Amino acid sequence: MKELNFPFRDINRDILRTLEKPSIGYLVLLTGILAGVGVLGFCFATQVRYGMGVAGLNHPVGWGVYITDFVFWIGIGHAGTLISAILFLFRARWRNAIFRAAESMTIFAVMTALLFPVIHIGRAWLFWWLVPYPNQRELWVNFRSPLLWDVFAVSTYFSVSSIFFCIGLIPDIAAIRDRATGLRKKIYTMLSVGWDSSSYQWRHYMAGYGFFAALATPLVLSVHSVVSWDFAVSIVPGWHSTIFAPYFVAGAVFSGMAMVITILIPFRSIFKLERYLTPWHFDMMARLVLLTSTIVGYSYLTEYYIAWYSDDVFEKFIFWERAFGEYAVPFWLMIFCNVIAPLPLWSGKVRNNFTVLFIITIFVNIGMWFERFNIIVSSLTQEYDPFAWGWYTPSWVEMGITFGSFCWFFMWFFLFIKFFPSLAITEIKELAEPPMSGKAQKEAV
Amino acid sequence: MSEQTPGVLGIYSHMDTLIDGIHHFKKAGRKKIKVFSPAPFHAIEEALDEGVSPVRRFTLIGALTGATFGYLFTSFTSLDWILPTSGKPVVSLVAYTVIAFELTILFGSIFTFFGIALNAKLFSRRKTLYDNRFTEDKFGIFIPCSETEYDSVKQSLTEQGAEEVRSA
Repeated sequence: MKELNFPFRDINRDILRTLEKPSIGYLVLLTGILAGVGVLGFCFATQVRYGMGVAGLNHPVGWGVYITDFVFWIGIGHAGTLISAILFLFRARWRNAIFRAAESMTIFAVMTALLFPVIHIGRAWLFWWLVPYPNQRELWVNFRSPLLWDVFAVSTYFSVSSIFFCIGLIPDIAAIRDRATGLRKKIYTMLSVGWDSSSYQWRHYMAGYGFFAALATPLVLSVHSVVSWDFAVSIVPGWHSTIFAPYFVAGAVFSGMAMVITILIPFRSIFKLERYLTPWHFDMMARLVLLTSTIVGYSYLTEYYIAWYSDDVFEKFIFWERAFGEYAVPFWLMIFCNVIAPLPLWSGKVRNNFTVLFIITIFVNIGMWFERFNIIVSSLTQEYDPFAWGWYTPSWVEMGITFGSFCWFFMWFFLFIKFFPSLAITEIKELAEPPMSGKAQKEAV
Repeated sequence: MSEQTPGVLGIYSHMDTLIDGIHHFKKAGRKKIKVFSPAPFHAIEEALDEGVSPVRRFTLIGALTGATFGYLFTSFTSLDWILPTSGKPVVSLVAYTVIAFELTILFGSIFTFFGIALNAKLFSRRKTLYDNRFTEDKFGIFIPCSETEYDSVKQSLTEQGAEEVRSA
């Protein structure tokens, strides 16, 4: 890894530079993002004030954009843990420079996703009913329900990812502490929880870090599988499918990795981190996007094949309607963005062209949102009984909350990059040659 | 305020010199040396030869606790008020496996965190000498010793390539 072989002092200096006083451009962008969070707050307040009627949800479509957003954001959160845990176990050296930013996105994406069950239930102030506890009749929640599995899966994912993320940050916070002065030093001293870079700390830390990675690996695969079972365990046509778990996991990694690229391309330019986030990193991420795109495309075909092969009239009808019915536009948008648009990534030149790569990943983000919309909405609008059919159009409140959720996500990311190193200092040092006196070579000569 | 551990700290710029120093002091019978480095390196770990970290036991105990709790919690709460639905078994172990799996991971992770915190002595005040450059580009060896040994240890550290030497 010649290209990431920098002197240790330079690594500290370059990465900690991102924590310096924010520029005017950063503050302007942050203000715009906060305004977007205001839109989220306003739309949510409107829904609380006037009730769920302000959303486009009505019989037969009880799950609409809010659940689409929930699944989308949980999916975005998958790339971080994939990079930080799975690629750590595989010792993929290209993860070291990018995993911190990706991992932070996991946390913020799950924080965004967690808003949606609360928004979706309508009476948001009763969200704690989701937590398993006995009601006034001493009756416990139904642990056989996939919705409850979801509560366990998502809350475990958030907890474990947060612990993993915070543990990973400790040595780097100590690096900030050792350069800081005044109040900043006091705060970072507290946050560095007594880290002193000593051998016994590294020994236990690295052992624990490996176990975290080993635990997070099956977890990340389980989370979107459990989310997919929210649908697959039902008997709704278009949902009741055994391929949903791998199909959703591949889609999650696909969208998450695309989001990492979308964010890191401007980030590396703004903070002048081109030395650390090299074309090689983006090439590897783009390959993963391409791989998962083919898995997602294959899953779309498999769904159609299964619908045809099952000879189930309802199943065949739903899949025909998805492509040529009321929601054909979102369907073909999904096919274009997720299957066609990533095809140029087969070319190495495209993978190394940041402008094209950025545009492709934007398409993927759009396409993956519409994939969830298609799965959720098209199946519910035309379920079994034609007399019970009904169309769904998102209201301005739902779209406002969706827009605001992106701002909420970026708000956390923007704040994070100014308070913590978004590239892992110690892990980049692991890639570099440690300083040597060359005594052994001199003696040999 | 906790008391400082008496001892001498040698600061190094180069990892190979540091490793030679570790070998020297270990051979000289100093078993409790503390080494500082800006990142974890296998070469230092091998030179110190401190054995396997006990954190793995915390992970195992946590994971087993989580799995057991997951199955017992779901089963006992279902048996607490029997509510048969759709002919499904009251204790549906397959369905409960999802919850037991998640709790295995959750408890395993929480216990691992405590394993790291307890063994690496996080959340405690540092008792040995330290240099701010250890998180940047310097290495260090701290040798706990009594005040009477300070001079000889300082001399040994200097002979072993330490560029700066300090005592507590």
